[in-house]
Amino acid sequence: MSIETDKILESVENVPSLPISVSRILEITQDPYASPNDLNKLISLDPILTGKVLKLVNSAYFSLSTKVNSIVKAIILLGVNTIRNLALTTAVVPFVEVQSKSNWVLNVEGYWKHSIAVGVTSKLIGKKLGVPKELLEEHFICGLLHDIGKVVLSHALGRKYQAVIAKSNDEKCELIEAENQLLEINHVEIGRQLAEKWTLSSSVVECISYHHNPNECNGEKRTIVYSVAIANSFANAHKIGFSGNQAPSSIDEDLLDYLKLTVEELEGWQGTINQEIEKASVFMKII
Amino acid sequence: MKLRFWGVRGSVPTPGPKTVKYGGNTSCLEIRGDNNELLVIDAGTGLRELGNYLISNDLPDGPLDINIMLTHTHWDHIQGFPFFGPAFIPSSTITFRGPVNAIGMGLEEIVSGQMAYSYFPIKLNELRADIQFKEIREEDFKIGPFYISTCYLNHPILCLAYRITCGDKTIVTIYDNEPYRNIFADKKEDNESGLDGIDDEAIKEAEEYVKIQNNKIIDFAKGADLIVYDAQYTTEEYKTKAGWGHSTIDHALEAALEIQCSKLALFHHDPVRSDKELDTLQVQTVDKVKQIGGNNLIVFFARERLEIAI
Ligand SMILES: [Zn+2]
Ligand SMILES: [Zn+2]
Repeated sequence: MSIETDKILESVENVPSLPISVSRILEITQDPYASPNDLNKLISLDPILTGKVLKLVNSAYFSLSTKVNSIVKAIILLGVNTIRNLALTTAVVPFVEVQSKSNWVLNVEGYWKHSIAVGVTSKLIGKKLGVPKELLEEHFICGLLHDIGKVVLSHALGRKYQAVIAKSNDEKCELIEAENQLLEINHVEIGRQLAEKWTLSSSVVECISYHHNPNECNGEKRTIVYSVAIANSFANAHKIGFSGNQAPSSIDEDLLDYLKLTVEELEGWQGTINQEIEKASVFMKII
Repeated sequence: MKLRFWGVRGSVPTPGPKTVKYGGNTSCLEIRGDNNELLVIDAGTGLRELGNYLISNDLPDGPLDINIMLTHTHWDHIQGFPFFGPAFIPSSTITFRGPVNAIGMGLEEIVSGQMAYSYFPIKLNELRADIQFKEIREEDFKIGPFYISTCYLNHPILCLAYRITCGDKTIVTIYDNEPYRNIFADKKEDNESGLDGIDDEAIKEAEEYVKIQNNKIIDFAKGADLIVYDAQYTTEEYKTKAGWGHSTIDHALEAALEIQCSKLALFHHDPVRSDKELDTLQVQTVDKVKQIGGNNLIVFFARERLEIAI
């Protein structure tokens, strides 16, 4: 790992959760009567908070004998209070500390909507494929976290990353292309390293690693990796949210064939996806 | 292996005429290996009397080396420590083991916190014994002849079940524990703010996971000869106490039958429970065990000074 990558990864510990959700985090985490459902929704709707809470729950600190891959399970296992405290300390404390020099060069709301859209779509695909119930939430989380590397880069590099976004914009090239040309590292690689550092599940690691080149994934995680990749292309194609990518590639027919899905099916879910995002926005008090 | 109860009460000590028989001290267990090796579980107020016993019974044979395993750090499991005689004797070695805490406080900090000057005249570092603290998690380790494993339980703070094997005998403690339950199904009316679709799925996911976690505890205890189980409430009382982190007598019976142990000690009695009530519950519980076909299960309410050899 290069020194720069090291530094970038280090800075991620200070990445606040999305500014738009901080007031909600405070509201819910400081409410002694917060319900497990509210807490679950709050955390699950924020990619950074989800990553950080799962990281802590699966850390050597608790040394759980089996890995926890969803917020629902984390709440059952460690209780509302513990998870509430973890969320509060991980999300809000860093936020207060770095608020002043906060570097959101990404469009926060667009990024958030894109992440939720990919999560929801990936979960709908999982459902259609008959993925077992206990793994459905993992489909959502993998979609939610697939672009987390962008948050890391945005925070660590600030203006430098703004130039990357501008390049993708001006030259109508894929964001990852611009990253590769201007930086030593791209959002896929930094996202993968972050997920490994946080010891997130291997599904999350692989979905991040392969969301731009799913064809190269041929292990047992192929189904979930393909689901996230398709969901990502779908959200991009329909401009649901926006994660800085001005020239996304279209949906890969081979992946659809492999999962026995059709474009028409995906199109049919658009209403559901938009509804879910709207509900999430109401919950997070974004609108 | 032998086990002796020095404290069986839950939550708070309950001295007085109504608790003379079963005792009013809070959690403390003395376990002895085949060659009289000592292991202590929990440092509730029962620990004070155990300390006096160790000074008169064990100390004449040489310095005391005492391992105390805490299930967790709620008051009723640590409050006897400031009054533990061996801690004042310079030749003693005392090693605490207990679970980590999610609030970011260390085990030593929590146990010694009760000895802050405003609560207690002597500080931890003034106690003359050599006192160590080791934070433990779900893991396996060995102390003398005892092979020990741990498993997280469902309680408002992290709490450990202990499985202790010596020779071919095994004792398992499962307290303070409430069976995992689907808390996502609790507040269904609280839905106006959110993603109803996802809520229903959360309930389903939680349902599956609750089963997995409860089975995990049963599997952890499989093959035990004696189980010491949280039985703070009656089923009636539990209706208003769900979520407080304790089990009912029926929960304990159910678990013991699944585990197929030969002896079940019902433990952590509610502070309101009088000797008379416990005697009545004893008779009812034995009847119930017969009804549900647990003919090979010996069940009893733990009482102070009761000694069981297995
Ligand atoms: Zn207790
Ligand atoms: Zn307790």
